[in-house]
Amino acid sequence: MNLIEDPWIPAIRADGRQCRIAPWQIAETDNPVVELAAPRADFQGALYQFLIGLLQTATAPEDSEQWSDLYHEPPLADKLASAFGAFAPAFELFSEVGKPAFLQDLTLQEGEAKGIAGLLIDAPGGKTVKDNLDFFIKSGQVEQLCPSCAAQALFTLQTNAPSGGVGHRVGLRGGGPLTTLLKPAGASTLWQKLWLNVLDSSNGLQSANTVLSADIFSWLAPTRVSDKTGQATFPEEVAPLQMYWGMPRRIRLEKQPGFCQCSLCGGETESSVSHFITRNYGTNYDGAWLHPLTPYRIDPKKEQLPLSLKGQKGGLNYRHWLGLVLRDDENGDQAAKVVRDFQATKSALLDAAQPLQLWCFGYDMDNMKARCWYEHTLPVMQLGASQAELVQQWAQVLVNCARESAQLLRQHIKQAWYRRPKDVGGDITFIDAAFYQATTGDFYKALAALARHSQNDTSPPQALYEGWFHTLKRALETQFDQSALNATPEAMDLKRVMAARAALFKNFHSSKQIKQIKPAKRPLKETA
Amino acid sequence: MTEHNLHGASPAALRHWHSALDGQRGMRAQLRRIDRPEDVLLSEAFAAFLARLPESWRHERHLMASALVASALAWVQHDEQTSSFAKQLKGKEERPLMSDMRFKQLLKSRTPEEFYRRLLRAIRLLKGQVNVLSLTADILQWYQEFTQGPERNPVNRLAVKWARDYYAA
Repeated sequence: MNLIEDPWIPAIRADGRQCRIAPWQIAETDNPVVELAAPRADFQGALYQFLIGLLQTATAPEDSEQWSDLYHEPPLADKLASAFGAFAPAFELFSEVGKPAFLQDLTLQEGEAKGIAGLLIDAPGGKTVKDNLDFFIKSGQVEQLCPSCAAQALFTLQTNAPSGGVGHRVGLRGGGPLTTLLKPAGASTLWQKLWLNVLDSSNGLQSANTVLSADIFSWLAPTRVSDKTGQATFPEEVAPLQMYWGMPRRIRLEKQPGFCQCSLCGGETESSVSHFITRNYGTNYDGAWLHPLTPYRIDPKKEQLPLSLKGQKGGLNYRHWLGLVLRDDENGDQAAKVVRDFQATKSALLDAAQPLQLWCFGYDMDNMKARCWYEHTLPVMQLGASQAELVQQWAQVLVNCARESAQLLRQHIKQAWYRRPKDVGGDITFIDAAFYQATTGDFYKALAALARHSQNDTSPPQALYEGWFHTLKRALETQFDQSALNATPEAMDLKRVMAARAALFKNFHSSKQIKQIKPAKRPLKETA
Repeated sequence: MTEHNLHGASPAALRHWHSALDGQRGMRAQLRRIDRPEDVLLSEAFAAFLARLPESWRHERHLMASALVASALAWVQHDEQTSSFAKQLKGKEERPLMSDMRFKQLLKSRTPEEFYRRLLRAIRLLKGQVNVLSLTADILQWYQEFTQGPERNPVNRLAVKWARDYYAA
């Protein structure tokens, strides 16, 4: 199967029909493709990245003008087909050892043979199965894959690869990175959904001029192994486009002829994959990689390498909004390149009336254990550069105050619950989660108001700050009372609870952060 | 001034009835000379009390609460309206008037008899200087929570209201 020429990508067209398309068909305008339809959530994200990577590699626009023209009118389908077609030799899924196979080690002949389920990031590992501990995700669910699902699984693993034991390398962005993609909020074609995330060549990501370059597609040459005699791979050593095609794991799929019903998509095919072979010490990505689709935490002193943001326990909520959409000065989080580029150059070229969203997804990994798959959609505002700067500053105040409040709430609920709160361990961040949940609606309302305010005023929005102050205070009251008082009086030390409650509000009112948004005391009128 | 939930009774009627007791020593004695709250149910004084209150106070399910109110109020000498009952128990001094432990016991009473006994002790501690409406509302809520279980919203529970007044005073 060739991933450029054959229709292997599950998709949905405007009339609702499911189909399989070859990559170039994303440009079809007659009953266009509107969405992908992968059998798993992680595959869905991977297919998007596969197509975005392909567009970036084969047809990156020269400048934002050209980008904008193409956003509104996709290229002719056969033009796209021929642009992609040049890369076809690198996209064969199966081939003899020694000939290139997509995302697979060129020369790997001998290695550990593994069941195909081993490609799936959430599948239980060998030891888990042996110890009979596969409680949630059972073993033996996935025995064989159709070539399409095998390709998706392979790309998903190479893109998100967690550490997999000695020498089984993590992906270019670390294990389980967060990916953030821009998406129109309303109805749109797949083309638009993808093209929003393509950078023009002024970003150093021009289309490949030598088509089949091992600097981009590392599987065209023997793997840069990273065992004792090997080496790490730094950004300076290969083409920047390799970021879209990272291959940390040495894998070779084994195709089997014969009828197959795919364990994942249920489709029936003439051939299947039930095993692959693998070996450790594949490409070891090191150094300051900055993948365009992933937000990073940047050390302001530039002493540490940029750290890709990962899926985290508890998922995402509005306190991450700044770091994912603009930048968060509090912790150094910075939106993905593609998001920053959008704000800086593309936003002005689009119809501001069509709202955008940021689709954020990724695994929360505990080393090689997948704890959770997260997916969130955050609002993206279309702001000019100076407006964005103001909104960033003001929203930072809101977020800082919310963080401070959540932290105070957790601390004082603990004081209400325990005589010696410092001696009690355990994870009680569910308190934070409930607090953020309760204030989410008001935050996004305030954010929209901040954006409006920034259109004609550069002074801090005092009235909005005060509104946020009351929101936080109300939420603290309700959340504290719900958590600290929700027990029979016999079980509670009410004296302690009330003392903690009083301390919570005392600290809230005297907090440095909160003072920024606190309403000024009005003379003659007492405020409690 | 806080709104007290008096189950429909008019604050003026309650206060009036209470202050009229001063001139009706016999009535007051009837209400005071009991061991358990239900002893009051058949007395003439209690009938006179009910006559001033809404129909619902005479309802079978409410009668016990009504009796608790009537007999507790009979021990109140002066309607001290400046602060709530629970705040009065804390008092103004550093050392609370009613100790922390006693206060907790009052909250945790398990039967109307026990509650009644402890309530009288509290009123005695206050030397009969008690907020009549606040005390009435608290007795009514205590009995309601005793029979029907605590309020769903913890903030509105009597224990919490009391604790807020007592510990924050």
